[in-house]
This record gives sequence, C-alpha cells and structure tokens, in this order.
Amino acid sequence: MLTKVQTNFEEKVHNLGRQGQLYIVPTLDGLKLLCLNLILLIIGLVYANNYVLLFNFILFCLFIGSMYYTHFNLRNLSLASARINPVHLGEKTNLTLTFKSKSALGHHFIGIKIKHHALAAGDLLFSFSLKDKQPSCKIEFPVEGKKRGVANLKRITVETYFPFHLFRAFTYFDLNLKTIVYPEKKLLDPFKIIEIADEKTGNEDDFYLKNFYPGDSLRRIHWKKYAQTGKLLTKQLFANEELPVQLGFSSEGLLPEQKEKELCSICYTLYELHAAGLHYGLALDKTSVEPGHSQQHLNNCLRALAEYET
Amino acid sequence: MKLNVKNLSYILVLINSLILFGEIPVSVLVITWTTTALSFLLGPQTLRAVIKPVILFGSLFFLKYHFKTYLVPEAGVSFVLILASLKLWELEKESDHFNMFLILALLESCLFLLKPSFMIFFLGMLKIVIFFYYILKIRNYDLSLLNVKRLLILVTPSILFSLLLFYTFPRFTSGFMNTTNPQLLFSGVDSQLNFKKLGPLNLSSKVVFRVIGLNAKEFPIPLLYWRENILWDYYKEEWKTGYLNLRSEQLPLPKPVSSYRVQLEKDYNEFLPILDGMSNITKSNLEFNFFSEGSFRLKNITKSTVSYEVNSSYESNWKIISPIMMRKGLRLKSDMKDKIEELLVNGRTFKDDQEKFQAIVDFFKDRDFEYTLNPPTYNSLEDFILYGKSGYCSHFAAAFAYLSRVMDLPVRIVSGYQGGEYNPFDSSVLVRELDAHSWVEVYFKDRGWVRYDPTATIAPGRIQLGANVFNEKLEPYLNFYYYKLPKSLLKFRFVDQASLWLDSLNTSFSYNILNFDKERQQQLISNLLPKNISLGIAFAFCLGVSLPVLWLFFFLASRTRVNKDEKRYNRFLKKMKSMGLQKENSETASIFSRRCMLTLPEHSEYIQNETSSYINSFYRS
Repeated sequence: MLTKVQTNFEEKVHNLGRQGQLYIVPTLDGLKLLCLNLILLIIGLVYANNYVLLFNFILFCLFIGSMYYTHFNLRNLSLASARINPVHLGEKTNLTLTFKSKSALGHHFIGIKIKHHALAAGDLLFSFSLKDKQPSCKIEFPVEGKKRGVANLKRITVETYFPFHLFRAFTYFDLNLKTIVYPEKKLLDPFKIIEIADEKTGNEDDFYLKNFYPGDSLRRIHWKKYAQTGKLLTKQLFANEELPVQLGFSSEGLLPEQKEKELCSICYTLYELHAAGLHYGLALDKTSVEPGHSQQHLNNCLRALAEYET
Repeated sequence: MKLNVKNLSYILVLINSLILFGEIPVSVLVITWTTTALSFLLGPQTLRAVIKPVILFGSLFFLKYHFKTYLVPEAGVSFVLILASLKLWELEKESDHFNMFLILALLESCLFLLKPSFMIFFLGMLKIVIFFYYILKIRNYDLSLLNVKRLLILVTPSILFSLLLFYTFPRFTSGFMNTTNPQLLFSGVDSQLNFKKLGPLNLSSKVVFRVIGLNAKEFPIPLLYWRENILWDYYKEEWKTGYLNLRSEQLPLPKPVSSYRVQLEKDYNEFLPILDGMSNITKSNLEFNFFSEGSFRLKNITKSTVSYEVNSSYESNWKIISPIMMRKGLRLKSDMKDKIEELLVNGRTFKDDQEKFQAIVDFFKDRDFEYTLNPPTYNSLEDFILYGKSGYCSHFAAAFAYLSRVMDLPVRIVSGYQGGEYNPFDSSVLVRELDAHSWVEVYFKDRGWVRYDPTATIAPGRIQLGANVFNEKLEPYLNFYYYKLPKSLLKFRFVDQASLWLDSLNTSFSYNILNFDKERQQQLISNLLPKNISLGIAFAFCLGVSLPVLWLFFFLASRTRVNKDEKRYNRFLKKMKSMGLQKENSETASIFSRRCMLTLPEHSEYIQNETSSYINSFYRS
C-alpha cells in the first residue's frame, strides 16, 4: 500500500513539471521508527519514567536530524550537463551526466532513476564531496535501448537515503535529451534478405567473385561454388561494379514482429555494407536515403530505420 | 565466531535477559532461552510457523496467569523479551534486522523501567548505537563516510534538541499506573528483627541511599546516625514495628536546622531514612506519612527511586511520648524476666531512671561481649544476655532494650544506618548496606528519647572507624580454601576514586534526568520564561523554534566557505557590473579584464590588480 501511495505521489509530482523542487518522504523504516517513538512516549508517560522519555526524545531527534541531513545531502546539487549516444535495441550506452555542488557537506550515496518507455536503466549510486577538490562529478550511467525510435529523455530522478535510510529525498532534473534507439543489429536469416534493386544488366559472364553480403541479390549467388565449397560467393558484374547497393523494404502485409525482424536484418546489412566500403542507399516506404558511404550516411540510414513507422 | 548483525542480535537478547535476571520471573527467562535455542534447532519454516504462535500465545496466557494483569511493567517487559527471542527466528532479510533493531530499542526502554540507573541507560544507548552501526553495515554503506565530523554535525544538534524537548515536555502526572507488582511486595522489606534468625552477616557494599547537601566540615560524616524504622513490640524473640497509630502532622524543629536531599535506591522502598534527631521532610516525589515516633513511611511500598528533601535538627531529640508509646515501650513478656532482673538489680535500689540506665550500661560492660560478624545462633534473647559471648549491633540493641524494659525504662529499638562514605566529587554521602545498624532510644522524663548505642560500648571502633574499615580490621583476610589472602592487597586507591567518580556521575544524572518532575520543571520554566506561560505553550514554542534552528544549523554546516580572494574578486565583479560590464560565463578572468580595460581605461590599474590577485591565488598556487 505504501509503495502504491509513493508511486502515486511521485507521478503527481513528476507531472507538476517543477524543476529543482526537493521532496522528502519517510521510508517504511522511518515510519516504523516513528511508531516506536509513539509507543515509547506512551510508556514514558504512563509509567512516568524519565529515562524512557529521554531515550524516546533522543531517537526522535536523531530521526529529525537524519531528515535534515538527508535533505541537505541532496540540496545544492545541480546538473551541469548531460549527454547520451544513440544506442541499438538491446545494447547499452552511457548517459553522461555532470553534477555540480555548492555544499560543503558533499553528496553521498546519490542514486539516479530513469523511467522511460524506450530506455531501461540499472541502479547507480555515487558520492562526491567538495573536500576532495571535487566540485563537480561526471557520472557514466548505463542505459539500455528497449524500444526502437527516437527517445526523448525528459527528466531523471535523483534521490538519496543517506545517512540512515529513514528518509528518501528526491528531486527531478529536466534534460529534454533526445537519443535514437536503432533496431537491433542482428542477422536473423541470411537467405531471407532484403530485395535489392538490380535493374542494370550487363555481360553476365564478365564478373568476378566476391564475398556474399546480406542484401546481395539471390540471383547473383554462385550456387555452384556454394555447392563445392559451402561458402556463399556473389558474382559481381564488372558492368555493375560502380553501382551502389540499394536496400529497399516495405512492411506491407507483415506482422509487427516480422517487421522488426526485417529491420534488424537491414540494420545488420547496413553495417556490413559500410564495413565493406560499398556505396549503399536505403528506400523505405516513405523515406529514402540517397546512396553514399560515410559515417554520417550510415547514421542517416540508421536514423531512418529507427524512425520507420514509430 | 564472526561478529555480524545476526550474532549481535543473539548477544543483545541474552545480555538483556541476564540484566533482567531477578526482575522478571525465572520462567520467562527460561522461555526466552529456550526460544533462542530453538532458533538454531528448528529447521523447516513450516514447523517454525506452527510453533511460533504457540509460544507467543502461550506466553501471553502465562503472563496473564502469573501477573494477573498485563499493565504491571514486569509483564510488559517479559512479553517484549519473549518477542525479541522469537524475532531471532526470522533474521533473513534486511528489513528483519531493522525490525529487530526496533524490538531491541523497546527492550532497552523496558530495562530503564525496571532498572532506572545511569549505567543501564548508558549501556543501553551504547548497545543500540552498536546495533545500528551493524544495520548500516549490511546496507553496504561506506561507513567511512560517517566520520567524526559528520556524526558530530548529526548528533550534536539532535542531542541538544532532545534535551530541550525533554525538559520542556509537559509532565501531566506522576504516571497513570502503579508501577509496582503487588505480588512482589514485602519480600526484603525489613520491618522486624527476629533474634533467632540472627546469623553471620554478609556485608554488601550496595548503596542504599545517598545524601546530597550535607557539609562534611559541619558534620562528622562517619559518626552520623540515620534513623529509619522503630521497633516497639517484643514477642516470642521477635521485635516488630508495632503498628501503632502514631500518624501525625510534622513538628516544628528547634534550631539549628540543616537541609539536605536523600535519594533512596533500595530494591523495595517503604521507610524513609533521615538524619537522627528531629527532622521534617519538606518535599518528596512520592506520598508519605509522618509518625510521631520520628519515622517517615511511604504510603505505598514502591520499587521506583524515591527522592525527598529533609530539614534536620541533628542536635535535638524526639520528646513526644503518648500513653500508648509508654505502654509499648515498657511491655515485656518473658519467663526469664525475674531472673534477669535479679541479676541486674543485684539487691540495689535506684533513685531515678539515670541510675537504672547506668546499671544496665555497667552490666553490659561487665559482660565482656565481643563484636563479631559471625556470631553463633542463640536460642533466645535471654540466652544471649545470660550466656552469650559475641554478637553484633542487632544482638546488643535487642539485649539493651530487653534489660531496659526489665528495669522499667521505656525503650525502643531504632534500626537504620550509621556512618557513610563521603564522595568529594559531588559532596554527597553514600550509605551502603554494610552501614546498617541498630541502637536504642531510652526515654527520660526530662530529656525525652535519648539515643544510646550499646555497640559503641562493646566495640567503639565500629562507630569511630565506620563499618567498612572496622570490619576490615576485624576480618583482614579473605579465606580461599586453606589460604588466606590479605584484603588490603585487593584494594586500589584509583579503583575507589573511579567508583566514587562514577557514583557522582550517576547521582547527578539521576537528579537531573530521572528525578526531574513536574515541580522542578515548573520551577525551571518559571525561572527561564516570563510568568503566566503554561508548559504546553513553552513546549510548543521550543518545538516550533527548534526545528528552524536545527535547519539553520545544517544550512550553515553545508554552506561553502568562500575564500577571501574570491570574495574580493566578487566585489570587483559587482563594481564592474555597476559600471555596466558583466562577466559572461564563457569569459575567463583575463579576457574579462582586457574587455574592462578597453572600456574603462581610467581604471586599468585597479582592474589589473584585482584580476592578477585572483589569478595568482587560484591558478598559480
């Protein structure tokens, strides 16, 4: 029940959109201690025992003291910069955050939380203090792409339970940081490959053999060699040598899972083509990327894949 | 065995059960220890889940049966102890350990209920701190972060704040419950002297009461007599209080009067010891009755600490005598009375009471009694008077009272204490169990009740040297099988000094904390605050003010200290801003200074100086 109340509270606060507000709530342990305080107060009053009363007040004041300490452990912490690299689905990248502090007490056991539909984050605790000549702290926070598309990381939650785990102080930092989650880079079926425009024809005998790349036309595979060696080789016509490889894909008639699988294969192919130094282009339903070969070109293609029907 | 939070839980439960030994029924301790042992033996969770409620509810039934009510502290403490031992069965998760911490904190406060002393409180706090340290340890905290400075920042204001709350928290009543268990009463309350049962004495150095406020220069502390209980009735070898209805209003005291405070720390308190002579109790934390025989008794026997303030006129003596007192003071039923009278009078006639009294003293001197801590058991008091050789104060006082009554002199036995140890650390007098003493008061028409100590006649050293030193001289060796070990070898001056210092600490703590009651609180508040302010408002005010003050403390502690060079540079930036030049975030100090010098060439020297000072202090060190 407490978790539900806490979740509702956080959602409400999260949607208020007020940056920099610092919230502090007692944890379950804190509430238990408060109940003990109440019991001890009753015992102390009923039996008129000053030791019990004093013990109770000491516990209560340490409770209040820890509340302030937890609050000041997060206070004056500011986010100086944030950066995140694009990531493939299922792969991890780092969200780089730089925090700055103005607190002489430092900040200890600060945790970061991210709630995002497209990015999954693990747990991270970090500490830094001004005493160690460390007015700022660079954090590499691992995140994992879990849904293809453009992810807008609006906010992160920064929290702390230090020193006694009796209170949880938390705040939100607005990031508005966009990143792209590319499809998974995975060759699922080497033979079920994407149709490549192969309009040009030339002298069918004038060719040399090159390694097969996914995306190569099935009609160009040298099946005889494959039967002899078990190795896929493609016939590269001298006439078509300079022509770029054009990848095309349409999701028409495909189930969503199938579509994602196809996009994974295209992604893999793009990397293979890029690594082979070939010129390649991409034609999706409404989007197309002109053939080319550069890191920027690869990024454009991957971005087109990431944004495809999302 | 590695010390971890689980093992520590076992240790603390066992230590606390041992501390409670003698305070709660042994059967509860047996249940606790059995439950603790079962936590090792019972493996399957299902078996545990079945047995646990059986023990829990069984204990509840047992406690109800034993104590008749759950409201006496002993019942509650017993239940918490059993609960703690049951919690030992489920120490798996992190939250279990925290719950154990809460139960142990409750158990510690239960100890304070039954054993309210400074040492128990101090040790209790220590135990809780150690346990919490281990709780933090299992939460994988970097404990080096909780260094001395941080702990001071956290603990100092909290302790100050807690003391403020403690002193201002309104004491509504002196408790809603009677804190004594009626079943445990009267065991150990010494209101009689059975001669047949007088055997060897075991000396205990446990403090019975302490007296604060007596001037050691004014009073011969080792020679003081502390009266407690008056024994009137003698019947079948037993001296009893007599249950006379002598309750009366307190009497005015002749001067000079000395004021002091007594803190009584017996296991069970009924009689209130006061300095011999006439006394009045001016203030007490519990209700009491005064009896015109010169004794004070609590209305209800209690286990809790009693504190009261007394005015005494040490030089004077009680003069009141009523017909019933006279009758009781002379009553003696004894078959041997005539024989002893014959022996005592020896054919003489006495002019007055003084001569009778002197005859008894002479008889005592002639008998050549010896003082010993190991007297033989006598069949009767007459047996002791006629044939006895050795005894201690109770023997002598009883014999003297008997002889006085034989001679028709009204007499009563006063039991109390004699002497005491002066503690220079807090100018208090510690009176211990080994100082227990008996003497008699003989009534003379012209002088009233006059104290006479027969022991002083037999063994003057016992009175002059004090019980401790005298008994050590009497028995200088400790018997260890066939060997004798001199007691002086076991005495260390620094140990005695340390124990006195600890005792003074305990006294001060008890006075300032344990005995801080409603009246003292009102006095304190009225001294500090303007009049007509109620305690509730004072408490609310303190609570309301303390929270922001505490916040301010943390705020100041967390504030970054600005370097003086940085302050100087900030002043320079402010000045430049007032002249229309603001430093951009992207600008370095030197670039900004160049811009300033271009715009304000007339201030070039000033700009140059300020900037170079800043750069020198921050970048060239």
